[in-house]
Amino acid sequence: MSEAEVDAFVAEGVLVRVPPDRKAAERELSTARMHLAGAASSASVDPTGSFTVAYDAARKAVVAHMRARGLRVRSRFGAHYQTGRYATAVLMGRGIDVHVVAFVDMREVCNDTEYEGQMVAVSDSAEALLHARAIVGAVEADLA
Amino acid sequence: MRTEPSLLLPLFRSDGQRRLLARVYLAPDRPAPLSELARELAVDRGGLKREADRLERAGLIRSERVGRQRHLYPDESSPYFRDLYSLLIKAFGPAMLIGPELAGIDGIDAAYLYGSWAARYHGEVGLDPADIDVMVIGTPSRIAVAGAERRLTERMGREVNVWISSPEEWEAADSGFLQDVRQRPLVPVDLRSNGRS
Repeated sequence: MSEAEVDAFVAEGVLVRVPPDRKAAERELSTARMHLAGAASSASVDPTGSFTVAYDAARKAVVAHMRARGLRVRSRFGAHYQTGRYATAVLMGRGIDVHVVAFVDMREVCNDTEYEGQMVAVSDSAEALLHARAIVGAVEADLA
Repeated sequence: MRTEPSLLLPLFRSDGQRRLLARVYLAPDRPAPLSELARELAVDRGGLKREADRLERAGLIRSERVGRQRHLYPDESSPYFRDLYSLLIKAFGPAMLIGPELAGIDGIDAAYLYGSWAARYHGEVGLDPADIDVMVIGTPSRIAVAGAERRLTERMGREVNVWISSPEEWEAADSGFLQDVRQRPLVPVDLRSNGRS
């Protein structure tokens, strides 16, 4: 994601520039890793919960990416949605497009489980975990 | 075959004309000879030919000869093309667009439009539905279905909401929601990628 693209997000009011914070980024990434482990361990007994935690793992990894770069998403524009837009801008075209698109769509599944009472299957939580691992891995590579 | 004409966007001179326009405009990648279109749209062949001639004279559609067959396409040079396409996709697009989108997802046994849009399709008078409700029966990947939902929402310019029900839940219908859905009008979605409207 070029600085010009970041500028466009900032101009749109979606992102705010803040001082880059490597430590905060590491903390977020560490939380993302713990979420991955938690999602894996609960996938068979609580697929719906596991799905949400896997999504959160991916989302927090993307937030870590922003923190390291000195960016923060503005919550009033729908923080999760905008985090998906940021992920699309920084992670597409790097051989993990299918995981990035899935991450964006996982948000909708989480909404359906939280507000519509829908449940997910074990196969769905396993799929979510696969995508989340790819997102976390890509952010780890960027922050290494 | 429906007995009542659709009350969604009741601007067309006949239900046959609106079905033909919707089919030609919304599925230009699947041209078909008139005889096949007549069967697909449940319109008599003579009437369909007259409608096609009239629309072609008005510059809204154009024909291409493939051997002895006449294939119809939207006339994109018409000054009304963009506006007419926009009206048709908003009013009649769901069945035609949702089928091909869901057809590519494994694990879907059946799908229906339900709620306000389906009711309008069956001729029930009411406000223009703001969103499109789709019931999917099966055990597909929820992420794949959410992707289809997002793409359809983007294409149609109105929110598409998909509810996934397992075949067992659908058959049992022991929730108030499913009972309500099953008691109200449903529009089957053609999962063979040629969703009819």
